[in-house]
Amino acid sequence: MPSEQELQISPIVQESLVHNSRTLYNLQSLTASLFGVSAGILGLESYSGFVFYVALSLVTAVLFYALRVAPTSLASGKPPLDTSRYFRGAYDFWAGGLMNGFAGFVLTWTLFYGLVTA
Amino acid sequence: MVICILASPIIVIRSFGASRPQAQEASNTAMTLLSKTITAFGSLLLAHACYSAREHTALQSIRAATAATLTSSSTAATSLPVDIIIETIISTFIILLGLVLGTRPLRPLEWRVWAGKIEREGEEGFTDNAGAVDKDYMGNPFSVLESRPNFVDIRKQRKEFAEWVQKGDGKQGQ
Amino acid sequence: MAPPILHSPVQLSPAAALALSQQAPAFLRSSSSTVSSSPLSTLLSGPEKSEQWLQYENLIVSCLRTGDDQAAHQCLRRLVARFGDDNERVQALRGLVKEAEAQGNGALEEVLKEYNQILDENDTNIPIAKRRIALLRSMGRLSDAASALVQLLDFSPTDAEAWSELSDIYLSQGLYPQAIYAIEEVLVLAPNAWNIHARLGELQYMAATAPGVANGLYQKYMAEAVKRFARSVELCDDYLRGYYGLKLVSKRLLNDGAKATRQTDDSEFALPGTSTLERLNELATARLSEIVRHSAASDRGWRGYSEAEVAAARALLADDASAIER
Repeated sequence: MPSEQELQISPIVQESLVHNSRTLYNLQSLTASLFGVSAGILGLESYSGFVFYVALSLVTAVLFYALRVAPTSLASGKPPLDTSRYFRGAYDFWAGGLMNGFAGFVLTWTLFYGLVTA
Repeated sequence: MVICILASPIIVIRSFGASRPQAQEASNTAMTLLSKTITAFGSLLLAHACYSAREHTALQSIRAATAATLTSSSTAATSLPVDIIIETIISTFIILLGLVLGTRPLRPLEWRVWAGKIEREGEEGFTDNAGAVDKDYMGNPFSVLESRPNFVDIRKQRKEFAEWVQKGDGKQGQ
Repeated sequence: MAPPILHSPVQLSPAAALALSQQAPAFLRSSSSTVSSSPLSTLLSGPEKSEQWLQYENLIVSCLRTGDDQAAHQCLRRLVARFGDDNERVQALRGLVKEAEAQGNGALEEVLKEYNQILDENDTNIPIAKRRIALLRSMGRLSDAASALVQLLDFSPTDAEAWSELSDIYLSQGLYPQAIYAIEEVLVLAPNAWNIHARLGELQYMAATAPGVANGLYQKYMAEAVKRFARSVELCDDYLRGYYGLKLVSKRLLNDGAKATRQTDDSEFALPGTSTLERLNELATARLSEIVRHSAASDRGWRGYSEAEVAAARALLADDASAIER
């Protein structure tokens, strides 16, 4: 985390921060519901369903990084897998989707599990 | 056969990726179209997988019922056929790709990068996937401190405009 | 592409202003002329958009500029219908229309009298106070305008736009220290405004190069100018105006350094050393030539600069090159 003085010298654009977080959040909630549908169709139960969700969330983050962040971020000289050009915390970017989309995942998972197997 | 269908959008993406630097505006609109097509195609595939899985379980239960009446030896419910599993997983990835491609472009966080983007690219740098300028884009937000719209000297502006028109007419006349 | 009437049209070029005001009839036709508060009409025409009123306001300004008074009046009527006669911004816009149509000094005095009357009733009416100052300045009464502006700033000291206008008025009077002070106030209110940093640098440079400046003062202004331009390019990558100023100032200081020996001042306003200045000059030259090159080729992602600025940068670089050849 940069200190107060560093923030004064090289400030951060709040609007961009809001814009980027909202973009990422929208993607995460949409894809979480999608993963719920697939988990339901596959008939996954208990732990395997959660493992499926965690794995696919990570894949989403990697794909988003590769398609949206990497082209400009690498061009501006940032090291690979560094998201600081667009996001403040690395943790939020890579693992934030797990919390954001969890409710949507469980909802569609149970719904489609019921639809397919009942 | 399925593999062929799956491979085609990936090839399309590659070709779009290659043509990007030359014609960004055209490819921007193409990007939205591409992302929507991919998502729609994936959804179709997923719906089909869902339907197949549903039919499979229905068939299973009927077979189990008839088997029970005929031989009274209960067969264990077999798991989903491999082709349905593959179809589900692949369609999930296709939709995922479509959704990621459909996200709006990000904006730089650091002040100097963001300000530099405004100065260097103008409104071109702040477009959505369809190539339209973002609604909340306003150029340099501090330019009003120099243009000062509330203090505008309208008479001077009017005069300057009239002179500009006269000069333009003169040029055309010559 | 959507019409850019959401931005203030004051800075536009004449051609752009003309194009904008030619959109006025279509815009007036496309939006309904009457505003009613009945729920039925809201259902039929959808909720009113807040940017619509901003568009009307900007249309008035650009139509007045191009002489399309009829469309301006039409826009004004709609604003009056929506916000009423007493709204401060509407009052200011009506004053603007009257100013634009006024013929001769007598009519202008009349408008000024009206402004005074409104301010007598309510002296917190900031839009009208600003119009009054602008009118005074337009009539050539600079010192009146400046004192009125100082009064306004006493009342609302956080108005960055007014500080900026004050700086401009002082500048037109040739009062550089006052102009610099006023623009510094703007920076206090908007510390990250890169164009204001560059503006302050330009003011310092103007003050330094004004005739009859003492040598010590000259050095102080130049040192400040270097700092300001450096900060403006620190806040904004590839800022043409900032690099232009940085190059101008550092080149001048390097030329000075060859002639006159640098005197040791108090540490706060000390000039940077020759090697630093040389590096700054090199950096500015490199960045400027890159900007000029990309803009000339109209590369993707480099089309945001105005042509006039790029031409000026090219002229500066060419000037530099010819100086080296000699």
